[in-house]
Amino acid sequence: MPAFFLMLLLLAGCATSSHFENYPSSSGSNAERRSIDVSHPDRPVILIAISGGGSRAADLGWVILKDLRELSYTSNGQSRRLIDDVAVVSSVSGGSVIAAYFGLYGPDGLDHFADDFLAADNMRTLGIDADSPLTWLRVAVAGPYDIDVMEQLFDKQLFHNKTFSELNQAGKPFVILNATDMGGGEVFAFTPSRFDDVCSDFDKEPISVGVTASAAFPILFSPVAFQNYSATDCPSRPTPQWITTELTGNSEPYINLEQYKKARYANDLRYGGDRFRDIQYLHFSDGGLADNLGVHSLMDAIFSPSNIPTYLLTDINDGYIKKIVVIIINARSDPSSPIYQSPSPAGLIDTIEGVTAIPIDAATASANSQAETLLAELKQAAAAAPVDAEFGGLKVYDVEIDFDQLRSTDEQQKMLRDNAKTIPTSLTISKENQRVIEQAGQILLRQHPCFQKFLVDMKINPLPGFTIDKKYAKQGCP
Amino acid sequence: MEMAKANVKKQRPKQPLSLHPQEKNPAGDKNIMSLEFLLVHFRDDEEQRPVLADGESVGFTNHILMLPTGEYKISLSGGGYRPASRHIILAGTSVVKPKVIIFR
Repeated sequence: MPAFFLMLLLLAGCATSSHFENYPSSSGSNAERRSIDVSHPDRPVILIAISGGGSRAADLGWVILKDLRELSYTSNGQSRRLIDDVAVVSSVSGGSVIAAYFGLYGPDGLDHFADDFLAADNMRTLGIDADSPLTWLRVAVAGPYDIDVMEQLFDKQLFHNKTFSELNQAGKPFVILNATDMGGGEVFAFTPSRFDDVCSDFDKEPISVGVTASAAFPILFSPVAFQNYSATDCPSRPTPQWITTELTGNSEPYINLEQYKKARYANDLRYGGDRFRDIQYLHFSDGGLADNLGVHSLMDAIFSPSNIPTYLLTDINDGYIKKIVVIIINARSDPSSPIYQSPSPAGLIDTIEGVTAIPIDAATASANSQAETLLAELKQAAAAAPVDAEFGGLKVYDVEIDFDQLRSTDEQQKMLRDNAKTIPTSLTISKENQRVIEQAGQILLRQHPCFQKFLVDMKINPLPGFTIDKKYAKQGCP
Repeated sequence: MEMAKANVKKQRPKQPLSLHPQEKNPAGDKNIMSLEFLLVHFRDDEEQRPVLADGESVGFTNHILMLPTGEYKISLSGGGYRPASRHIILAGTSVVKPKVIIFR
């Protein structure tokens, strides 16, 4: 009996109230200071998505960014690094750690990332052993770990109380950190326009909160909580035209259901008229639950000026952009399941793992497929454009990076693939696994036919130790 | 501030087969965002105007523009034209058969 009461006391401790991690906006409108410079048509526009996957993803994103820093071309008689043409980085979970770091410290700051984050035993700092059953027992009894511990780790080691105002500066790339709204499953992108929707001050928001919201591993950690200040601090705002058009158009739900739902979500957040739901509070968990690649926000950045105002589509339509490179970095793990070797049905733990991981992988594959389709359409349109279309001649290089592209016919690559796919999803990564990711990442980017085709078109010499095969590049990148 | 456009000589590749609407999305899944094409004329194209879709600039008149499938309120920057806006349903178009609308 005493144990029963003790259990009740412990469970009662689970019902903790949240503290809210956003600030009301005084004006209801956040400034967007970033823009994409398209005044040099010889320069490519590079867009990157970095997936979830803990330090494995952060490391892979870091390797790719470093490679882009090492590659350069001549523009206006001067040498220019490819990394300086990175215009948008959309990220999820572990990918958000390196995305925010890159956004804050720039290309030259990448040199310190390994010491600041990858080399550290971050799980030990958090006081969590995710492999131990006792950890999960503790979660089952006492509830998830307080998300503050993760925020404090990111702040202390990486971001040092810096806020999004430091990311939202002229000359900086658009860095879009993505979390999952646990209420409805929508992607919540940390952008000025989304913060407008919840009447919150984007510039005041700590970067560590954004990264944590993107990386808050569900069940293990409590979600990041926001209050929606729309009803209290931004009442009676005019509704943006795109929302009105989407919600009042009779055809929209049939011809573009996804965009209709985005408009409805934005309207709900803004406490607009005829809203579908009243959203007073938001609870964010790992962005990978909704989109583990970050491609939804990347596609919005290209195709939806109302959602994320990069105005890329306008620049494409006006003929200012001649080359777009889209690099989608997928660091997903894929360890062999023990049920493949067992004649017995899957047990409870394996079933729980399956029902959580399989839908995430399926949703990610679907999002990736959508991105591939859109980019293929963009390529075809550019190729078929008549003379009164300024986007004619636009070249699109679709570079998707995935461990499965490491060749099984090459012993070294096969070993790298098998090792990389079993690196656990954790905020700690061993030195040995860092080496695996470093080698795998370099091969994956440099071996990609579309990236090779891009280097040929830009007249960029490949990095030492790698050669470009023009025929392979042309065949593998239609 | 208007950006200076580079004076690039347009070189069009040999035209491939046209993008028939049904060919764009063989899976037929209308929930996958798709690209559509719009051509807006202003008077007799004597003057170019920025085209606005739901208040956001998306390009210029007299040029084929790409937009995602959907409904839009199309208007022009500046005044002195009729109608004030057009509500359009942009679907089933192709780069060689864009939707055409005219402002006077």
